[in-house]
Amino acid sequence: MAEPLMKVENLTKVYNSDAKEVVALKNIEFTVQKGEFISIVGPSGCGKTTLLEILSGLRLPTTGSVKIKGKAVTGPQRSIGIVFQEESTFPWRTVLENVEFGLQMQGMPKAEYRDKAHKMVELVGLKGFENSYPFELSGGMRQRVAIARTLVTQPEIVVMDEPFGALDEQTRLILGGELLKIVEQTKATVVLVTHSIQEAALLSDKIVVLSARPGKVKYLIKSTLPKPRDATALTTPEFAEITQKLWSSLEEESLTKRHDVDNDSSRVVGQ
Amino acid sequence: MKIKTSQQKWYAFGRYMVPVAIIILWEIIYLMLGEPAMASPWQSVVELKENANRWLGDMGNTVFTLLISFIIASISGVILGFFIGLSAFWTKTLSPLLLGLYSIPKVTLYPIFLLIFGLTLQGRVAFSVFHGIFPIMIICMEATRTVPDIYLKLAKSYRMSFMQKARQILIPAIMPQLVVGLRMSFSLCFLGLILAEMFASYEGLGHRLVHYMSLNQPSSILAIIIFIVFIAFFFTFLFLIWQEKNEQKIGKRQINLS
Repeated sequence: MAEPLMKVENLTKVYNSDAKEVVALKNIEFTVQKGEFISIVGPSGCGKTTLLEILSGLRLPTTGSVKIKGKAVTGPQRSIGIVFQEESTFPWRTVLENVEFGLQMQGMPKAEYRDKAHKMVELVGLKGFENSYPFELSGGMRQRVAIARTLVTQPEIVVMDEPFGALDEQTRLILGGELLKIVEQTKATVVLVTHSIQEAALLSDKIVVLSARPGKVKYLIKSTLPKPRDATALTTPEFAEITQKLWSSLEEESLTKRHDVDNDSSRVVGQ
Repeated sequence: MKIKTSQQKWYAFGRYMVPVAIIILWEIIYLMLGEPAMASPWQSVVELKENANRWLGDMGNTVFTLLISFIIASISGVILGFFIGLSAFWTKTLSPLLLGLYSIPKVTLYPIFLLIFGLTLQGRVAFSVFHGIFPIMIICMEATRTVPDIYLKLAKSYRMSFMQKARQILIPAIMPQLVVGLRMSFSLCFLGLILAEMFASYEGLGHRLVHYMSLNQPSSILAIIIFIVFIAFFFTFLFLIWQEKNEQKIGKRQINLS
């Protein structure tokens, strides 16, 4: 098997607050092959966003490492593109200027970045909106701008933190389908953090299921859904099988977490 | 082409009617009080026309001093506010102090300025800057402090230098508030300057105002006031156009100056 593009080894993250240690992530291990689409799912509070920030170099792990092509990630780098969950388009820049932003920061000549940005705007389906400002677009369109801004810099790996989290389920799945097409065309490698089981099942080649805090890799589910995929995949038995697996594993985790919380509160009440 | 909605037409109509209402009110007050306590709008306009050439020097002096003061207040206020706003420590330490200083009736400190600077141009500039610097500093500090975290994360992910971050993210992000702050700073610089000219100066519109007050010439006083109002409106209008351009871009409320 080829050397993985990204390798996460024995990764642990511990936060220290008020002399209290909180283990957010524990011994996380997985690999990402070039061109793969990986989703990370887990119950809320399991450290998904922390993991994503470590993968993208915005935070450092306490122990363990993240390596891209064998080289440790010690900070943000050009080979990693990030799409954030929050609204991150610049309201003072037009769609085209927003998409150009990353290339501009890399010092690319204007003629070159303008051309690339135009192509990317077309690819994400925003042709005709180049000169619009973000406030004139819907939430889904703004997130497409953010995705385009990241993809246009052609990073080796794109890390996405619930990019469609603020949208309704229907728009989220439609945009997810579009994202798959864009990813196929740009041959990008994607690591997506999501809490939507359907989104993870529809988009991913591999799904990493994290346990409740401290987040550990509980399951690694490989998708059997045929490619190319679109919204019609939602009705296939393979899709049902993956969502079922994801649902049962997450339900189990949520119940464990709830049990722990109940035990904690009964202790407090009993004191 | 801009198409005006009926609501916008009403806004414009209201805007033109306010000065008309003020002039009518002025005429009524004149009729009630009579001379020599009050002069009519017409008498004041005639006075203005007759003396305009004589007062142009004072007007030029006031506008020149105002622009110098505003430039000093805005540049230093923006720089200080920006850098204080970048640091959570300095924002927390200095903001109560700045807010306190801002709320002092600054005219009470005028004797100190007079002692330090005497009846000089520097004294008037210093007093004017002292009026105008606080609003822009406070607004700039707050705007910088509240730049959304996501933009800072983004800057980090693109490995931007401080200068890149300031030019491409921080300054554009605070720009809408900055323009409002500059407008407020300008108004207060003007207030401070007119006060300084009224108290201790041999030139400027404020000095003329006090001069005609001592001569009890209401038509001249009101004519000077028209001059002052014109300057205030002219510059405020320019700031409002700038503000509207900025706010239109980000989809905030529109003032519709046109």
